[in-house]
Amino acid sequence: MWRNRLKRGFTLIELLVVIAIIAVLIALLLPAVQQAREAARRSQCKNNLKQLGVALHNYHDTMTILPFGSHGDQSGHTWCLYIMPYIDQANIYNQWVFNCSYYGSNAAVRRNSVPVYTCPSDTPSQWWDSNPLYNYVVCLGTTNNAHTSPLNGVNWYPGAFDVVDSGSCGGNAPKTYRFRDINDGLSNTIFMGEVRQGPVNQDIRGLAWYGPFNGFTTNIGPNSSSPDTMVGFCNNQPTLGMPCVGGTTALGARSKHVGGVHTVMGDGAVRFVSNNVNLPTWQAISSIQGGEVVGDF
Amino acid sequence: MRVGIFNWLLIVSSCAGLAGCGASESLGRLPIKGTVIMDGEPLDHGAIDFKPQGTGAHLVGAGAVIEDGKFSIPADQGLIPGKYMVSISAPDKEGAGGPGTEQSPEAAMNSVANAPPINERLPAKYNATTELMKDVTSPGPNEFEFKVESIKK
Repeated sequence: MWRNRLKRGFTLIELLVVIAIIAVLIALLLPAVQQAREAARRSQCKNNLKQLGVALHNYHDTMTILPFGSHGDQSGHTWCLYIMPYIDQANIYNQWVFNCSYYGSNAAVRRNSVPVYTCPSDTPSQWWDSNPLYNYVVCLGTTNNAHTSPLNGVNWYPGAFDVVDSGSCGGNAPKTYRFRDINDGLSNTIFMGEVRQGPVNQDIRGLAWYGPFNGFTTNIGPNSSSPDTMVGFCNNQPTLGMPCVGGTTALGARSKHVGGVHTVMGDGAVRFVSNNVNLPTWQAISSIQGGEVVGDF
Repeated sequence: MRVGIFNWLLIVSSCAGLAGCGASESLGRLPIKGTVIMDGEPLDHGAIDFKPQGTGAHLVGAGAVIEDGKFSIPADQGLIPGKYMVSISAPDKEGAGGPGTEQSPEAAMNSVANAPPINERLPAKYNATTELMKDVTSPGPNEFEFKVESIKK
C-alpha cells in the first residue's frame, strides 16, 4: 500500500489543469489589482468627508448652532474657516484676522492647503497658482445661491447652510440653523457633498473659501450634463465633465468617481449617491424643512 | 484522469462566472440633441436643461451648453424615455474673468465681486417658469428644435 502511493505521481494533464486554474485566478484578480489604487483613493475621499461631518457635529456641540455657508464674497467667512479648529487646524484659524477681507495678512493664511478638504481621486489644482482648490462644499438647497424660486421649474427649499455671496460681510447675514431646525431629520438631509476642482487654470470651481463657491445646490443631479452656473471664471469643459455657463451661481455636485458622488448626511453617515438618483429624491434630501417623504436612494 | 475531468469542470464554471461580471446596470439613457433659434437666428450662447416630470423610481435630468444654436447631450449622460420640462436660458455675458485674463489673484477676485450683473435675455416663460414640454422616446431620434423670442428692449 505505502509503496503504491509513492509510485503514484502527477500526470502531465493534471499539472496542466492546475496551471490553467492558477491562470484563471490571476485573470480574475488582475483587474481588481489595477483598480486597487483608485479604490484606496475613494476610501480616503470618503473618510475625509466623514471627518468634516464629525467636525460639523463638534462645531454644533460647542456653538449649539451650525456655521453658515458664507457671509460675503471676499470676507473669508465661509464654513471652511469656522470648522478649522475641529479638524486640527486651529493654528490656521487663530492666524486669521477677522476684518472681512481676504487680503493683507489673511492672504498667506488662505494659501495654506488643508489636505482634509481635498479628495485624492481628483487632480490637485490651484486657482491663480496660489489658491488651493477644494473638493468638499456644503449643501445650500434646491435652486441657486440667490434662492431663486422657481428655477428651471424647481421651487426653492433651503439646505442646512445659507449663503450671502456678495458684499464683504456687510448687509444681510446668512441664516444659520440648529439641528432642531432640521425637521426632515438629520439622516434624511445632506450636509456636505463633493465638487470637482476646476480642471484648467482660471476655472474657479472648488474655491470653497470664496463666497459664491462654498456650496452646491441640487437643481441638477450628481455629475449632470447640465452646466454649472457661475458669476465668473467659468471655463466650459463639457468633455471633461465640467460644463458651465454664466449666471447666478449654482454648482452641481460632481466627482471623479465612477457612477456618483459622496455626500455626508446630517447624522454623520457618508452616502454614495448614484448619478441615476431620482432627481426629486436628490432635491428632497437637500432640503431641511421640505416635509418630503424620502424613499430609498 | 477522473481528477482531471473534475478540474476541467471547475475551469469551465469559473469562466462562466467571469462572463457574468461584464454587464453593468444602466437606465437606458438616450442621446439628445437639437437647435435653439432666438429671434430667427441661432442662439450664440446659452444653456438648456431638461427636468423630469411625472412619477417614477429613476427620474433623471440632463442639460447642455448651447453654442451657436446647437446643443447635444451624450448617451451616457442623457435622458430616459418620458416627459420633460425644458428650460432655456441665455445669459448676456459670461461673467468676470475667464480664460486669457491676466491679472493678480486679488484683482481677479475683485473682478468677480465687482462685475456687472449677468442678465437674462430670454423671458421667464422659457426658464424660471417654463411651460415648454418635450417627450423623449425610445428609439428616438430625440432631436428637438426650439424657437424662442428674447425680451424686447
